[in-house]
Amino acid sequence: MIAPPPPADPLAGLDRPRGPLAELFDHLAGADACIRCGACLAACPTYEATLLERESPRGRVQLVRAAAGGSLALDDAFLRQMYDCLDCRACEPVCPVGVPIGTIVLEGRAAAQRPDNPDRRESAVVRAGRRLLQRIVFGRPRRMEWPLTLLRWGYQRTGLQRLLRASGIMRLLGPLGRLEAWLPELPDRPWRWRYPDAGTHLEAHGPRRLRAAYFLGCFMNAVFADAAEAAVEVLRRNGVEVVTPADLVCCGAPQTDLGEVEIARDFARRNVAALEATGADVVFADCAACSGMLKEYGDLLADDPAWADRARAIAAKTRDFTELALELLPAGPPLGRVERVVTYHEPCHLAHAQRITAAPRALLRSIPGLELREMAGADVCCGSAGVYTFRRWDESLALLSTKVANVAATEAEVVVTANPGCLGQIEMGLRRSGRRQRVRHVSQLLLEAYQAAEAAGPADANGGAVAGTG
Amino acid sequence: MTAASAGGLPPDAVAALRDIVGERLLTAPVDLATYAYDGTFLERRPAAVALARSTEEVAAVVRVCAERKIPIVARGSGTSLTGGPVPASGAELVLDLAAMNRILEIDPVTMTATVEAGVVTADLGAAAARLGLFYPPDPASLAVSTIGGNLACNAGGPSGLKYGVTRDYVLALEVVLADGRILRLGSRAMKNSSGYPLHHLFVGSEGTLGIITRAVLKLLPRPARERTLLAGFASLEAAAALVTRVLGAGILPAAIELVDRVCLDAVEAYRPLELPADLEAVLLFRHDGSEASTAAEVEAVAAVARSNGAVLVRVAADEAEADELWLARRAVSPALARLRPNKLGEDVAVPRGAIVEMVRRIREIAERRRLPIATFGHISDGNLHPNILFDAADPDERERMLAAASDIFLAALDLGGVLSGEHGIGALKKEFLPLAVDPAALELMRALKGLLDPGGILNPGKVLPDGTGLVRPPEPPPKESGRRRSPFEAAPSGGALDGSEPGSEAAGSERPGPGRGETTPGPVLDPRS
Repeated sequence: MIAPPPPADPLAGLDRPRGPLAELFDHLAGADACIRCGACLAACPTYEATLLERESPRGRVQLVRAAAGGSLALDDAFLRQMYDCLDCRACEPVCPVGVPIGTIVLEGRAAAQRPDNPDRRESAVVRAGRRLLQRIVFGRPRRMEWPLTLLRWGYQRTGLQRLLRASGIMRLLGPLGRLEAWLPELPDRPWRWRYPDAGTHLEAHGPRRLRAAYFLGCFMNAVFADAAEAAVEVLRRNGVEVVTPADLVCCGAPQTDLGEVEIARDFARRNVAALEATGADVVFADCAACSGMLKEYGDLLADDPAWADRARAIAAKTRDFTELALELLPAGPPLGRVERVVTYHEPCHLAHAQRITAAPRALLRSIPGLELREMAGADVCCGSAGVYTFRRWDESLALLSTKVANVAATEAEVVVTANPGCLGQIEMGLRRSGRRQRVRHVSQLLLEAYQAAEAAGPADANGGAVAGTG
Repeated sequence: MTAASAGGLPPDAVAALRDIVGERLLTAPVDLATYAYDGTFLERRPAAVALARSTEEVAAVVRVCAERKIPIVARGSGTSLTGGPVPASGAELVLDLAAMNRILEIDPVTMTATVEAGVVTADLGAAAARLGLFYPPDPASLAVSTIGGNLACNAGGPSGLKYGVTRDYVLALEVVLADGRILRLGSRAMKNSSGYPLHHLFVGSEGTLGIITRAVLKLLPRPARERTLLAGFASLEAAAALVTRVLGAGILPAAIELVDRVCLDAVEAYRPLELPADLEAVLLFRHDGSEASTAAEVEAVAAVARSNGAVLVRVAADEAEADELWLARRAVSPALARLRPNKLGEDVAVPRGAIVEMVRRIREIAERRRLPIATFGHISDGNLHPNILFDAADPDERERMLAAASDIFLAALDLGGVLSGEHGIGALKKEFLPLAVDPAALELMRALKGLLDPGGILNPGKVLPDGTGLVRPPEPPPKESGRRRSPFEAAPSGGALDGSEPGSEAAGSERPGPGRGETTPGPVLDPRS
């Protein structure tokens, strides 16, 4: 379909779209709030890299607006622009009028991928296959446990990985090679295996202050199990009884990212039911993408009368791990010394989507002996950005190399962050550039501090123990 | 109309342009749709977009277009508030200079910066700051706007009072003329009295006389300290009187910003600042200089404010508190956006003495056109930003918005002011130019345009009136009030800020100033109303 000629009326910019997808536009009450001031351009990593208006938040909102108004085809070119967005949400805090830019872009993806979109034909088989894959992998996240554990023991532990990587053969494998390149150091055992009785009721150490449901992210369980364990153990030391439902599924963030909103809604319903059943006071996740997504459940299921209120209730109870930890730790046991210089990388879905920037820093600063040295551009996306790494490999690596350079300039030993995507991506960046810094979750530094205090014994708990000097 | 009608360029032009910029000639719908707008609601897609990387490319592109009479709109970040970079006919090639963003040199001895047109204003500021230098012009969009756009519109900002506007920092320019010749004007010398100051001619010409590609800009030593003070008043007159008193006391703040009642109410509803409810106006003072001088200035202003009717005075102790105080100003835009779906951010400047009268007339216009108009701006230099809030879904409100804009322009002219202080004329105000300048001046402007751009290819439909403007003066045009007032004739409210009793109503509208009797007082009535 060829887009109709551009509007001749100079005031057309004020018209509400009346095209075939006007209902999409109505749904996006925010798109016409854009005053096109351009403030978002300065915050957008893809605009900075390309200086192209279509790669800017303002440009993307205007594309959705034009498409909704029928003056732009919802074709492959349009969809490509939507996927060029990192969904990092750096634009949202700087928007003076609060346009929900990230949501608009995701809706743009979903709209272009609709089966009834006349501008873009996708084979029904391909579509069905894509959806099935989402359901197979993310609808039963525990299916990742065995394959990844086998990779750990058969591929990483045997030294085969080092051999193959050194041989350079991986570069010939295309997308598979990229997946392999991303693969971080896997845990010996997924989180679930460490706490048998997967219904997992973990008592608080000491008197119980709170009953919290742990939303165990797919990647936290199977890839960053050490960090997940640290999060749980830190909270238990602070009087939290941690309940992890056995029947959690993926939070829905990757599916929203891919325009598969219906699958995301389905997952959200299942998670809401599972989390409700715990009867917990709060819900927390140590994956910023998950905690951000859970907080959006109310909006995601707003049009579903049977679930809207329940989803809103869960969203209201949700805290990111860093938020919850900051609420609890000041009244908890003393932290021991961790003599390290660290720098903090802000996950987009924590800093921009949830506007949490102070809590992780406050937690790190509360550790005696630890020096937090800020890097330049701490809040700029590392390039992981959901599926962006795999969809836009070169662009993603360009963002990553800036991030690595900024990390290196701090001369910190450890890069601390709070999201699995960032953990993996930055680890890959440091590895590829031959750097020795390590990447850790905030929870891991906190656990290290507790362990240092405990090793030093109760008499000398307050700041006497030294960890990490080696 | 040219041969290139809306929807594309002739194939030979495409080929010739591809020879110059290659892949950087954009013709895809996603690009045409995203180079169709600026910071206003105006919108029209160009025929194509070319991304330039060098002056030579700009010159070559201009030559190709000149031969074929293809109109060209030069563009930076597209933050204009006048429709300046929005294509007027759809036949235009948008020539984007955003990628020409190199800071070529900062010379700490001559204290100059040599930059390409696409350099972002804030980036220049940061680069200068690293060397202890200071580039003062501070348009609100500086985090995004480009120097090229600032030059084209002669952008200002709050610091205009103490530091002037973009033009005051221009030492040299490189300009591509409409025939593709490259002109280099000016010098790095701080003073220049050598023939006609042609470089100043291009500043504020909005891409209609030539395309600015590089500039040498003057820098200043960087002030060591900034301090902020907020003062609240129960009347606008009292606020205006304080400005006069402060300046009269020999104090020159870096900026004095006004936030009016409509803005304050909106901000209070959006993000409570815990300011007293009965404030009519808030002034924000920014002082810069040394630790000691700024402390002394702020203290002096606070004392003058307290003894001159300020009902509230707050001095920021540190940067965080200063940020908190500036929130009263920064929160205005988001707060207003929540009142009504659309807004037209206007920009008029009047002689300092007429500012109270101008605000009073804006209120009358708001009442008459039944639309909220929020006013903030740079009170100390008479530059106000009335923001007309409306709902575009209502055709009647659209009409009233246009009428209110017209009223505001005419009121500013009637008070001896100008159509724009720092945004430019663009597409939105061009039809008012005949009312705003001497007939002979308009003739001279047209002659200059004809001389420099005989083919009329540079940003057509902007600045000069051509009968196509969206906002138009009433028909028949006003005879007396609402026409340009000679700068040699005192404005009707010339006495308002002369130090009359603070808080007195007489300081504003009611006391006739010199010359007031010579014209019809009061607002101009639009026959459409």
